[in-house]
Amino acid sequence: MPSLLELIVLAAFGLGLVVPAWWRSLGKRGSAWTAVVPGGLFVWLAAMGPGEQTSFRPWAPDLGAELAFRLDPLSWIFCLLITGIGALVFLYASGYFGDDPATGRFLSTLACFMGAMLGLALADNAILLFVFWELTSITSFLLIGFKSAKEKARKAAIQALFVTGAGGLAMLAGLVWLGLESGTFRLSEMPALPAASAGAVPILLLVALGAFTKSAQFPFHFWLPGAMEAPTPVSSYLHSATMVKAGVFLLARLNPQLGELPLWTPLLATAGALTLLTGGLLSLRATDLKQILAYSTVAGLGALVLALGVGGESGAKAFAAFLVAHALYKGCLFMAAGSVDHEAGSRDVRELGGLARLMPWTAAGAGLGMLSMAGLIPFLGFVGKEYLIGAALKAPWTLPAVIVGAATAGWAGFQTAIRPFHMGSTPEAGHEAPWSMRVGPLVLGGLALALGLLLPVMDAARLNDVGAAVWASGDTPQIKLWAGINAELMISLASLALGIILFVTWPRWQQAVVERADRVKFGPAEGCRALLEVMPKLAGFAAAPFQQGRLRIDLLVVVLTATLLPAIALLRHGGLSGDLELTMPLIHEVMVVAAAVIGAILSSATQSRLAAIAFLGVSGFSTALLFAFFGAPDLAVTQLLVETLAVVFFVLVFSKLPRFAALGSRWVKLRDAAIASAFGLVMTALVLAVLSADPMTPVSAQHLALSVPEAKGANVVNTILVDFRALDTLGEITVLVLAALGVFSLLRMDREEAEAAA
Amino acid sequence: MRSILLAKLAELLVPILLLFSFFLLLRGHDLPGGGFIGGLVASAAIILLGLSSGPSAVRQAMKRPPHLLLGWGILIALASGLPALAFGLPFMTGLWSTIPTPIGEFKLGTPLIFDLGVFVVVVGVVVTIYLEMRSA
Amino acid sequence: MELLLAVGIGALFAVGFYMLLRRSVVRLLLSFVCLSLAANLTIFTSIGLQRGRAALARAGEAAPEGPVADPLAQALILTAIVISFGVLAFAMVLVKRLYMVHGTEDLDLMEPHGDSPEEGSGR
Repeated sequence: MPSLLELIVLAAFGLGLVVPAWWRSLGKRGSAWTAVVPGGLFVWLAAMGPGEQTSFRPWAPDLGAELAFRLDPLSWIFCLLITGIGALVFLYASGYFGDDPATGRFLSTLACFMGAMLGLALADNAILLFVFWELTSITSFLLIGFKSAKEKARKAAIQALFVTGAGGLAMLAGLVWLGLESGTFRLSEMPALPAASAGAVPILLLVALGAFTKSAQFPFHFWLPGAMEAPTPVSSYLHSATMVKAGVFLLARLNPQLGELPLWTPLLATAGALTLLTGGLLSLRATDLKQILAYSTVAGLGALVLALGVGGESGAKAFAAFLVAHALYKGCLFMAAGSVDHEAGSRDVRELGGLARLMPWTAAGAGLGMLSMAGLIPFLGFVGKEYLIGAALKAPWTLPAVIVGAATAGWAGFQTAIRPFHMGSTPEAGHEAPWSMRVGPLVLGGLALALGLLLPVMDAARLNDVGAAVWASGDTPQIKLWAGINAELMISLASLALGIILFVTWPRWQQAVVERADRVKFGPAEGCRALLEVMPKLAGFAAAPFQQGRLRIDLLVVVLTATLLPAIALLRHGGLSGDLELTMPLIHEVMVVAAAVIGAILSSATQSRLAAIAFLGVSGFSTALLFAFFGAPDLAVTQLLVETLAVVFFVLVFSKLPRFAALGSRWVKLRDAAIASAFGLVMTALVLAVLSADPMTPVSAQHLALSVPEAKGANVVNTILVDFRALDTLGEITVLVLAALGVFSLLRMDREEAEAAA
Repeated sequence: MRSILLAKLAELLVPILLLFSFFLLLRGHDLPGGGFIGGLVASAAIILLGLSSGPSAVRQAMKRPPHLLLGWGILIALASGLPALAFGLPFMTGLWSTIPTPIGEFKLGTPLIFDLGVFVVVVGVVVTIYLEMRSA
Repeated sequence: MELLLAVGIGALFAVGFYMLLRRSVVRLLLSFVCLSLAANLTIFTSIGLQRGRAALARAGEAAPEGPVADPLAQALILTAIVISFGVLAFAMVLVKRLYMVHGTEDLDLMEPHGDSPEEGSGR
């Protein structure tokens, strides 16, 4: 039986499995009901609380891989975000897609993503974590490129996969190294890595590379705004609330192991601050609602990395509070932006205005999210911002970045929640989004308010426990709504004022900034694109001398290589110096071998197609006889049957074609014959060399001994096929099926074309 | 140009060959034979029917499109690996039991089911290819 | 016997590669068959020949007695034979289609690529 934790992951993947059929039978109504699964998981997890739970199942012990899951406050809060926002996103997607026939596929991929993300959060084994990590990258790729007919979407998907995939590889190396250094791959059992250990610096760098690419840290931030090509439910779910936080999660998860390394703080705090600054400043040039939010998400992720980098009590508090606050308000605003796009047909702030009268509910939800994002008391966003500034005060050189980040976050909030709704003139057409798309922004915005309001009374989101899990000092930090009038509050108010100024003056500077930004044609994104373009060219350049696009010339190169390399190897190892025990051939054996060779030669010489097939048949039947002579009745029978069927097929396909044309000059034929003979000679030598090599105990000795007692079969060839190596055979029959499907589709294609032409 | 002699001969031979192919499949665990060989013999029999009476006779005799066998074969082979999981053994561990019958004990095991899957795949592959080539 | 078979295998490889280098695409199919035979015989011979002794246990025996032909190599070759048969069928259809599209079996007349009718039909 699967454990509770395994059930959580399985439930999400199970939803992915059944959703296409579910959607097909129930349609639009059905897609709204899919939210029940993540919603149920959310309620269950919330009721269970963040108390520690573990589950273990062996997987591949030799590799250190095990199906180990563990629930602790950190994974608990992530699971709540994944399932809670997941439920709202499923609901939202049902309205967003309506009757679109691709909905089933979309929801299925989304559910698989949810399963992968839950697995990632709950994994307690480094290898398992990597597997789920890659699964989130792949599902994210599929979702970004969901509108696969759009070239831009495909390019964005490839770019995201390229960046996160490369980072994932680095991370795998880091995790394996870390596992080897600590002697275990169980994350909860890994001791803190001593700074003096040889792997300390490279492990941290490799793991950080994985985390930074996934969480869009500078200079890898560019893939995230590109990923906005995805349908909005994806942007709000993967690319703001959950997947992009996987990198941050990994760093928080490994904080106990790596957090004490001297490089940790400079590396993370610098990367975080730079990302915060980059994301904040770049958001100013965006006019597309989703782009504004995407850049501000980059900034938000930078803030989380910064908090982890600073560490200690203030860092832990900032991380816990801002993690939840950011997920809530960003998910809310993304959904609202998607609703605006859906109903008003545009996401450009320059074209939108006065929608509050048409879409009052969406406007209200967005308003709540905005107030939290701007950091107004008593919203949770205020708490997050407060502690973030507190963490920055511990590393004062990051303070400017935090102030810019906070100010631009406020600006972005106003820009997406006030300008489209409350300013400008109301368009004549347009209406409120369907109820399923209204619930998300309202609930998330409401939660941002409620969690903040409740904070003095109760820690509903268990932020203190999450902070304790990250802090790893054994103590529990105390997160408060109101910490008194202090430096943090002053800086917070100042940044808010700066945000308001930016917002009010925007019409005056926007044109200049946007136009100038459009002219910039270099940066990490362009670098990545250039790399993707250069690599195939480089490969082509390297292959050009050997592959000129003429099949026979390419083949000649292959044949010559296959002749020369073994020949050189044979000569260097002294030729056939070993002992060769030869047996005398019997007369009928000589005749059969001769028949095989003569059949092949005649087949290559004849001009008649049927004769060529028949001659080659002689070779095939002779081979079957050889199998029969030397103790392989199964092979003999198989060869015989295949030979017969092959002749039938040959005749079916080629009987109507004319004779072979005599092509190629005498000189070319001589040259080819010489090369082919040289190759044949090398193969002869090779067979003899193998036979003269030192005898080893064959693997099959075991098969012979175990066949009757273990596999209950007297025919050892068959027991190998269906028992000892059954999995291989399964692969082989799959190849057969593929070949048949290939024939099937090729010929059907032919027939359809003929019918279309007729 | 359909020969009556060939048709009559096929009428006689095809059922015998099919029966023989099952025999080869079942005895394959102890003597030469098995899923690959049995499947090839069965498909040879079906193609013989096709050569003597035409592909429509084959389609009629198969009742269902033969390419469905491709999926069924793989599914049967895969399913043969599942019972072991129920006993906590690795996927595809062979399980055997002997069934006493009046004509002697009969060994039944999951590898035999696997071999049946191989048999079905081979028949599906060969017959599908044959029919598609015929109608092309 | 090993020497004889080794020479035979060499000859089959030589003929197979000679046919591979011809301009006719249908010859490529024949060469594929010939090379498969040669490759299977190479494995079969390299593992060591045992005249007349199959890897079968007689009734009541716990294991096949005495030196027998290596069953693992045979299992390998058996699937190889069947798979190369499947691939051969696919290759036949592919070559047939190539022939239909280009109206020739001469590889040299199919090049230069780029202006084949295939590309024009938007596939």
